[in-house]
Amino acid sequence: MQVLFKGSFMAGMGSYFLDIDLVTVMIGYLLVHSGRPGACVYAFFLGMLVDLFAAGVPGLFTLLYMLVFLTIESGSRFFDLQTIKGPMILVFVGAFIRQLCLVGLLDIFAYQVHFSSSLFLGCAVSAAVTGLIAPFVFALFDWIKTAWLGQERESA
Amino acid sequence: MLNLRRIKTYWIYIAFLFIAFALISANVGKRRTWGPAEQLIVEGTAPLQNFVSKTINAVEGIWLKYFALINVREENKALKKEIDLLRMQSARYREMAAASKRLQDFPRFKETIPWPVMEAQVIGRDPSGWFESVIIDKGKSSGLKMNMPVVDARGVVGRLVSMSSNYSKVLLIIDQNSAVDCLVQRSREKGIVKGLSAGLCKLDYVVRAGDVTMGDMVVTSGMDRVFPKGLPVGEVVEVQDMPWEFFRNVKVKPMVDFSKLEDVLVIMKEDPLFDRTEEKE
Repeated sequence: MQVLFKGSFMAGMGSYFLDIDLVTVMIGYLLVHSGRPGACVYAFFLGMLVDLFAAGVPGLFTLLYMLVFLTIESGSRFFDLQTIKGPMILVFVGAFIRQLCLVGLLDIFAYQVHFSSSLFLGCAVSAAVTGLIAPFVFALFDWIKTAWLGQERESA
Repeated sequence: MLNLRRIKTYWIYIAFLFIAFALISANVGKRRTWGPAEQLIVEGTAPLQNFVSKTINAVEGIWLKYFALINVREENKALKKEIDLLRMQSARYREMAAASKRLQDFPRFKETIPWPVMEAQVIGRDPSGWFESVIIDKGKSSGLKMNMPVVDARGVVGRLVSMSSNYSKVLLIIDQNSAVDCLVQRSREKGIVKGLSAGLCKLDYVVRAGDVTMGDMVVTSGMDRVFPKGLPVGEVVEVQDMPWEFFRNVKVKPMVDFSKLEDVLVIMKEDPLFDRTEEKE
């Protein structure tokens, strides 16, 4: 869902500076609740979906989201994803690494990327905001899941 | 029999990473359209995108109309459309006048663009945040073909780069992958307009002695066989000369406001140089 309407939403807001990446947040959430295979498959196929609708090199976002998954999965050994601090830090690191790798790969593929402090700042701020909203998104999905399961049990 | 549980999880990660690298290396530097599987996915997901886009537009419309601005808003919209059409006509008349001046020795010339146009709506945008493309709600079933030019009332928008039965991807002129053969309307200096950022393009390969100044209109030259000649592309907003460079550094502000792109026109003009074997693959 986020992939499909993110572009329209950002254009409507008139903001291309802030890139809040809910896919990274979802990868973190699925890592906790569906385990590594679920999160890995989600990262892979969402990356392919972004590649389909984007105008860049096919496979680019697939690779980036796989890197995000590996970053969060490796980091989950040091930070607990079921606390508040854990998702914030891991999602921030994952999103930041995604931005840096994207910029680096675009430069390798001969896109004109103007390296500057504002670019670095933009990537950091976007990653920070993504990390900050991660615990809220986790809580929201937990609440939805609990409400849904509660309804199913009642109907059963 | 293969026991999947015995396969270490990290081999699956490596397999996915390998597939991603293979996709990248297979497609770098190549012009690629949607394959059959991708077209199927687009056909399945684009209606949802269309629904969300329409919902956002409907909510926006209700919000604006709440302040009893119905008539004012509609009138404003109609007047803006009329101005855009008049601007386009004016640009074309300026081009015709310039052509007439050059063709004084010829007794007659006729207006070109004998191709029909098809209206389409933008239903989605590039989700990456780095590239510039949109999805429109017309595809092969409407008779569209690869590389057909896309315009709106103000000027050139882009060209079709990927298609399925009912949807197409348009590469905008502000994308770095885009290149449009253009010329400066006043001085006829040639150049290539390439995308630079969300609201800016650059006119490349204008020689140091080239006559380009701020305020000059840039139009399509027709030389790339994709865009018809004389379509407005943008206005020159900056001209810089670097002593170590062969070409002038010219920035062009596109005529089209890409942040507000909703309705576009596809000019049903086939690209004679487009390799049909690519489409079949």
